[in-house]
Amino acid sequence: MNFIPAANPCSGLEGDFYAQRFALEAHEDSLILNMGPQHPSTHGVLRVILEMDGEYILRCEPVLGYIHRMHEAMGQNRAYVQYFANMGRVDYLHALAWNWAWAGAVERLAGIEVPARAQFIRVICTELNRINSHLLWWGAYLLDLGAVTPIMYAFEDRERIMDILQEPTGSRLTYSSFRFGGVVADISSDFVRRARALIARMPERLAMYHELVTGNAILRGRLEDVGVVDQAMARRYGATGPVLRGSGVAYDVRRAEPYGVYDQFDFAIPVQDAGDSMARYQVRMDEIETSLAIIGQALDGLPEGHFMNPDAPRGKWTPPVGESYFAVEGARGKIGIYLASDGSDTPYRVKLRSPSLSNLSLFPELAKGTLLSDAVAILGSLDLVIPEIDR
Amino acid sequence: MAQAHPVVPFAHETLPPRLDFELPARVFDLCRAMSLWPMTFGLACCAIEMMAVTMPRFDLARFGAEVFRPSPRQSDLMIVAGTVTKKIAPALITLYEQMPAPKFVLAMGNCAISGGPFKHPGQYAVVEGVDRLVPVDVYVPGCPPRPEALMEGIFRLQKKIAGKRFWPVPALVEGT
Amino acid sequence: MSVLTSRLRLALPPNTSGQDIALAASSQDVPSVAGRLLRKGWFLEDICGLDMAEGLALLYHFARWDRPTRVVLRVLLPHGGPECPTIEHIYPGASWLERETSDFFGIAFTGASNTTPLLLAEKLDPPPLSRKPGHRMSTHRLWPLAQWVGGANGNPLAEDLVGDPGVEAPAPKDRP
Repeated sequence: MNFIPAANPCSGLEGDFYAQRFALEAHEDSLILNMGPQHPSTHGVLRVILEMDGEYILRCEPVLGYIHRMHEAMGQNRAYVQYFANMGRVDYLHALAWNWAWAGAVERLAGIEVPARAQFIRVICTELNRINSHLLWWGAYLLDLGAVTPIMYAFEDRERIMDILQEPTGSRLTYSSFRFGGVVADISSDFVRRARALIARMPERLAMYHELVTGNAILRGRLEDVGVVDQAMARRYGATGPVLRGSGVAYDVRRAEPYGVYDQFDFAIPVQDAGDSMARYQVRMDEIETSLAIIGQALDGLPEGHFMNPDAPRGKWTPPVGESYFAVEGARGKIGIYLASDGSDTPYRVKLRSPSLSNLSLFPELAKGTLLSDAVAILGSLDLVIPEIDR
Repeated sequence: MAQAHPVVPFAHETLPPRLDFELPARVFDLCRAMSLWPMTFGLACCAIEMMAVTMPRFDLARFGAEVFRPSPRQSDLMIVAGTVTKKIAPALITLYEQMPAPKFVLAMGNCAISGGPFKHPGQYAVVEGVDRLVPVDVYVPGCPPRPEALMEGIFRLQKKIAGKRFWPVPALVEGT
Repeated sequence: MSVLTSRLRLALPPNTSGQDIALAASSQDVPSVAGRLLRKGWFLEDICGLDMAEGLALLYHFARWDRPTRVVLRVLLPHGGPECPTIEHIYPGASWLERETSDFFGIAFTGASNTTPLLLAEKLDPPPLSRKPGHRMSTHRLWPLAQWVGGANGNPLAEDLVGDPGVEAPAPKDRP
């Protein structure tokens, strides 16, 4: 072994460093409880230290870093094209959005053009990926709340979408198939046919999900008025994505800072006003339908041409000196990449702006005074991917 | 936070088996192999493929490993699915120690085998392979491995426990 | 407020940078600039550290919900003992972003309520993302002098931010 791990955290009843620090401000007769880092409902290795008064949470503090894999440090010693592999693993559920953010940041800095067909392929694949991400969120959320069956249906739909996406990307999960100036492979007429079949099939599946789950009295009781985020709070914490749109703000990067060819499509941004977990749930379900509409329009308007700019740089290359910031709407919110280049073949600085980090940072304020089971409902409604937070 | 004594699994404190005759032992081994109870230890991306293997398309329940238990006290297989960081290493060792014997570890994915895509000079956060912490029985490579690969890993583990493989080998694997 | 705006320096970065306005402030002015931006309806996107030859740069990126604009606030801190006041009482989301920047660059955010490392298992020395002295880029290469315009110069966004139409362009020696 080339390192010495910290002492066994269960060696004493006083807990480890974080629990001891948290306990310094504890009330009398309260219970300090650890949720995670190994827990079925924390969606990854998130640890939340809770101070409980019976079933009510007095105070909580998330402890991060259990899956910190130093993506930003790797950004400083990877060639530009090698970093796509990292981008597939930051948020593996919407890997193509991070691919797009990285490709966009470098293309913006170096002025690389993307042909029209490649833009359309990017849109179609990223929206399919978004549907996949929302389906997994839906299944896993209901699993947290205690409903074991919906995740089986969600994964069946996910498998069908992954079958379609395997052709242009070559992977099932951690896609890294974007390149500077386009995508790595073309889509065939078979892909188009299967995508259209999916668009035809999904509405009845979604209708079934709504009928089975969304109107369920238990679900409504657990989600309505739980974890209400108001707009001022969302602004102060930098919340984006469905967390923000569930509070009545129609902010979607695809509409606010259009990238690719999103300005050519006609789609409505789903917004709900209540700000509670049910509103965020509804926003994500409506976003699946929005994505299906965008994919349909993109398939209708798919132009001929190159799937990759023939003049784009390949392999190891050096971009000009400068900086760029590129934002993309991921399934969780606004993904941003800040890139600073010093003209060498590795980036000078890559900063990954993670939507889940900003969304989780409002959890301690949201969870004060709630029941523990409501905290689980709130965490699920924020749709977190912990490796995206820890990067 | 990091203290100066290493933590090792207490393997030498395992109790001897109650019935140490060959035929009952083989029957018990067969029962253990055909009803593995994995512990949910999904850390990162591989966890999603671990979830997918339990879902209707691939359905690991057909081969006995249906009951995924969050508690180590109720499980006998730890599937390390994802990157092991130095921060979570003590928790991983604790969980391994809390599993009752006989217990098995399956390293799923390149990160659990060797650090995977995060193995490079100068990295400070990742444990390069979970076999630096706990003994590993089966390694399933891939980034992430397909659900079929994870199932094959479970079959190899079953062969290791029971001494015999009961499921057919897919034709493609035989030919290569 | 006019004292503050006369201390702010303004740059118009090129289109390729994805940023519309760059403000440069000294570290003691960061809370008042952040408070001003919050009142005008900007939200904090992220806080990014950058290890440059002339010092440790801190970049605060702000954006809006109603207009596609981005403002970056640049602060340059000295390499030895970099300190900056916290803005967590204005933007509570900044608390974690500051802890993360402190982990990676060793910047101390004065007045912060929680200074434990956010992502690292323990404080690392030298901080992971800091660069060795010979490998740092100069700020003049990344932010050339030609971008710096001093006052608002009729730019409506800049006028709105800086707020005082009579700001004079600073002398060249004052430019970063």
